[in-house]
Amino acid sequence: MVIDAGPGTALPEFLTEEDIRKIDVLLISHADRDHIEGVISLIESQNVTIDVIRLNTDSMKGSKLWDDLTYELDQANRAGNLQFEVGDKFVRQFGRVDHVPKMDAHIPLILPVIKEYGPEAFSPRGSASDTAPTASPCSRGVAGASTDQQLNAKIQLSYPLNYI
Amino acid sequence: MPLILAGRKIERVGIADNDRYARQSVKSVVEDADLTPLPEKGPLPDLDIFVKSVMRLADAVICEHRLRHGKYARFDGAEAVARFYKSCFPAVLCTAWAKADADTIRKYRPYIPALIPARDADSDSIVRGIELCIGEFRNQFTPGRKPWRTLVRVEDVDTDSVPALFYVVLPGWNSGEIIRLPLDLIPPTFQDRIRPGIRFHSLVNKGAESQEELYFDKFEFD
Repeated sequence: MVIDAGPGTALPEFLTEEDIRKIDVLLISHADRDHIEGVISLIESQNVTIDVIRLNTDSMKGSKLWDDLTYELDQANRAGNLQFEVGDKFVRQFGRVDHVPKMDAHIPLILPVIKEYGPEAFSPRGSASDTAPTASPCSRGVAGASTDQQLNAKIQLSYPLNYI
Repeated sequence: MPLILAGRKIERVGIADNDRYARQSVKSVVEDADLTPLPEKGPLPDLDIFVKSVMRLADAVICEHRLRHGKYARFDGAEAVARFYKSCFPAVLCTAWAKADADTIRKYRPYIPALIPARDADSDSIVRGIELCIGEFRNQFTPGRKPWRTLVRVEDVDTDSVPALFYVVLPGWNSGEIIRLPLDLIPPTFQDRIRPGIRFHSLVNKGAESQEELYFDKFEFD
């Protein structure tokens, strides 16, 4: 699972170094530039396949950058590198999801690594916003993180998700 | 005394610079690196002959970009460095014109691993530049030079300028920065498709930290 993606090539570099070729779920919390530039970077590289992508839409959806993202999603979908349901069909089938019930999830974090933010940044304190650093997690210095630096963190997800 | 860089012996270094004082300066830098300089006095009327000559006599080469001044050469340094690169011969572009001539250099940038501003030229940067070339010949790219398939969005086109220019954004690199490119960067068969709002893909070193370092290669249009 990837939650947002910082700018540049750090995330695709990291995935390549770790020989990670498939992402089960890509969550995009909102459409600010520093959250979706890296998603575009990830998809356009064609180095990974993504099973499910879920985007929390917001007011940025009308921007050129958002159009860039939907263009890439469409291209990736046509190339078979990404499976996602577009708009109406999914919404008709499941209805609009305004709120996901609180749930406990045990997720091993592989990026960012401890040395970058310190263990206190990942203490299991409840909401996703508590656990996710506000700075980009994909700075160049973390691209070569090794698995022995992995950190397990228990987090709760409790924010609304819409689907494109 | 030869240097062994990534298993390759480097001893003699050719130097092409139209300015004899600058040529002397680069000669001193090469000597500082314990290498043997082979300065080329010119004139250099033919690129192919120049390339073959240097490859026969030297193990690497350092070129200024503006070689046409004073009729020293009939080609640009960036073009020469690219030709050497394609022959897997280490070549460094060392010039004070990197920013001023960015549009003409850009076309050759995929084949110029080391572009050293003249004021930064010293024995370390020259040796590092030669190492970068040898690394790329072995498909070993630094993060700033590694090619990535990249989305390009055209923002504007200026066909009145000479050369014709177009302006793009790389959303996966920095969506807030517009990059000026010469239209002849695009293969002629695709140039008429360049207009505001269209998107295409290219191989770009999007690990680059500044837009001057970006190169564009292999273009994909829908």
